[in-house]
Amino acid sequence: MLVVTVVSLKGGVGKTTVTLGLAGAAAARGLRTLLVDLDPQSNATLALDPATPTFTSSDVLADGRVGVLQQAVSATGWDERLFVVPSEPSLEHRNHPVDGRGGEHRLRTAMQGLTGFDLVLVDTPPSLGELTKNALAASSRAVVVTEPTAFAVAGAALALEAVDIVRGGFNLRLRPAGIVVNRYRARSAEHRYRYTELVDAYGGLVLEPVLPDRSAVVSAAGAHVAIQHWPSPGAREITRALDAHLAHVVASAAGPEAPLTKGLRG
Amino acid sequence: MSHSPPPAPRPALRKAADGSVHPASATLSSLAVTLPPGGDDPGRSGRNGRKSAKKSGKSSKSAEPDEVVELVVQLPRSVRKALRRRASDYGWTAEEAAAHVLRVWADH
Repeated sequence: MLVVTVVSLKGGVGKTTVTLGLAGAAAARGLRTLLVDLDPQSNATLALDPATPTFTSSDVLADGRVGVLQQAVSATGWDERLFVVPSEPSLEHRNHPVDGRGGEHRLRTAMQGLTGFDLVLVDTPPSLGELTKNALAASSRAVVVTEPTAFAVAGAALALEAVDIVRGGFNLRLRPAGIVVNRYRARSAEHRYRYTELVDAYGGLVLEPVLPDRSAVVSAAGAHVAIQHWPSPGAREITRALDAHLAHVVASAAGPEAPLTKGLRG
Repeated sequence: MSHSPPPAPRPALRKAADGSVHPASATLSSLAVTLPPGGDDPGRSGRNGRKSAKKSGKSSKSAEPDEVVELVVQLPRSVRKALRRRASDYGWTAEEAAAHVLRVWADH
């Protein structure tokens, strides 16, 4: 079972949208997929329309017992192969625990013994608080999402630094699987500049193709359906790109070693 | 009335001498002081950031990659067994766990 955290340390770059897109792509491939929503904004939960949620990710982290996450798994309205551990706004209280350190492995412990899934995707808030650290500590791969803008690119660099640090601090199996460039507009000189800057800095870690800026993405999210099921040329373009990204992420986990984040080391 | 061209974009990323990539603005690079020690960068600081401050004082030497060495220790078989079991819970070998624990302990 592959566990992948989708991370960005800048808000509003489309991290949840990419997580949902990857989840939809995985389900369309026939993979039994679980999306663990660790973002207190709960947008992924809202979009996935869980059937009868009983427990949330906040309950799971509060409990923290071995294997307890299985009890919070809920079916979704998207696909019979796609499941969710829903979030709730009160999860925010767990992002900055008052007692300080020591809770980074609660999600990992709660996920022990989880069966029945080929892929687990973890959506995170745009900060390196306790929630993101828990997600990274429980994952073997991390996907960084960015927009081709200066602030977002700097945030992507911070996210990759965070992956390196969490790998050294909590989880030696963790590797970056790639950088997804979202909402790319080829006519924008700024976007072209930032994309080139990312490729120069991180090389093959930047996933191809970029996700173009298409109105179908917000339309599908607004209708609570997977982008894979939205009937428009833009949606099909995004679907093809997400399929390629999912294939890359899965392949990166199968290989002996994913590329390190520290730029092009010769 | 003449129109000057718009300013060129500034780089958002910079590469360090060791090839690592960081945000171009140093003010955005404060993560290391809020995180536990670890990672590949031997100069990366712990919670109080003291190591980073020390590093800046001897930049030419600290830019070199840290040599990896061996440390041989003796311990009871039962402790090694317990270490293997506990490390295995995290997907680590006992050696990886021991190296990690020692690095964290030494950095405090």
